[in-house]
Amino acid sequence: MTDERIATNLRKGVLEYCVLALLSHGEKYGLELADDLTTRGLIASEGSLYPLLARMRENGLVEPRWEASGAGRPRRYYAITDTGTEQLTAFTQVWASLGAQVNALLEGSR
Amino acid sequence: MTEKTPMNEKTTMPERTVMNSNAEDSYLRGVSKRLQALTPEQREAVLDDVRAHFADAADAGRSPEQAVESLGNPAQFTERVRTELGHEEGRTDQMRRVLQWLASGVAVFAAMFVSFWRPDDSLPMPNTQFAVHGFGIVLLSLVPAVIAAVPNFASPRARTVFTAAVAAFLSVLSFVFPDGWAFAPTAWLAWAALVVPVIARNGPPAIGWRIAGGVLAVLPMALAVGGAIVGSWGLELDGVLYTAAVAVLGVLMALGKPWAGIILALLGGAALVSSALYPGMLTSGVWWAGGLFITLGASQALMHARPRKPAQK
Repeated sequence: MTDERIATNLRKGVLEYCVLALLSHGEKYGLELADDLTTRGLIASEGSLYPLLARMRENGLVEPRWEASGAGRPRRYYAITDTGTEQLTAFTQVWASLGAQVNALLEGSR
Repeated sequence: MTEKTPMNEKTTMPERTVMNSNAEDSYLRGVSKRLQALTPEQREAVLDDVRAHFADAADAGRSPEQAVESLGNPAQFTERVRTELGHEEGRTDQMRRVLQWLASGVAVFAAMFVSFWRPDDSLPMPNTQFAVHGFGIVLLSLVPAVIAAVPNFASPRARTVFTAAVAAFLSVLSFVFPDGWAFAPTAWLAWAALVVPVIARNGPPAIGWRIAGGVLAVLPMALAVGGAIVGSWGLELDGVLYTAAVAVLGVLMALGKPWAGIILALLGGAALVSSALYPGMLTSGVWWAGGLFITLGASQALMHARPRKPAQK
């Protein structure tokens, strides 16, 4: 398995929690969110963000809303919901515990 | 930072303030067309995401073509959406599996009918296949049921080929063998298992398919009424009511009501049982009508079934 495949598999599992983490600091519009995730190397393009947002919306983790933006077209902002915050808290605990275990294992195997 | 003004509508696109480009409209049409399997609310929410993406991209100085490029073409984009929302291959594969098992179930009933119940005037008394040939004929009659179920055990890659081969084989069998006519509904269901997933791959079927299904459903009853009018047989009150009920169901199926398909399939099941228990001059006609109703009704109900909520991943 190449480095990229390992990274892709790990990203798949954590991406929605990364989105929740970004939104926990405040609502963001799509391109803003996509830029944040792309800069961190978590997604390759916006094409994979909106399908993920669609599922997160269906599961009640994020909520979109329209806002007029000056003279331009209205902007669609995504905010984390209470359910999303609960999921993020749960993930944070699991990640801390799991990450520590994996790190300990990897250090022990060197 | 631009000034934010909250809008009344929270989740639907407000009146557009700027004309969309052709690229955006074309992209939205491509996405909408491929997301018919979603609920209208789900579809509209995804379209709003796309509209917002084009607006964001324009604000960032990107052209509509660049916005399209970053989303991927509509087919790729909608495939990702369907996968995330749990509408990927599994949905159409489930339709195929249900129809295939239904074909197998109808074949088992047909095997019981031709073995135990149907009097065969070419045989000495007692004139049923089982009474004359014994248990071996029952096992032989069950072969179509086993064959109809084969695609459900094939690997995903070979499934379509197996489904087509089984449908073709059952069709030949229903023409060639003396009691093959009783297995014709099994062959129709096997063909439906091949065709329905293709028709419904992007969502509920187009209006043309719905009307064709409704017309086909009414056809046996139209023939029955035609036969009564020319005096080939009488038409009792229960026959008139049955005909009217099927006609109404045909119209409702054309309008895309899934429950109309379920009722028609149940009526078809009743017709099969009735035909088996009270064999007469019109046995094969009633049997085929029942098989047709099951095939059309089940196909229609499966194609129009409302999508389920996506599972938490």
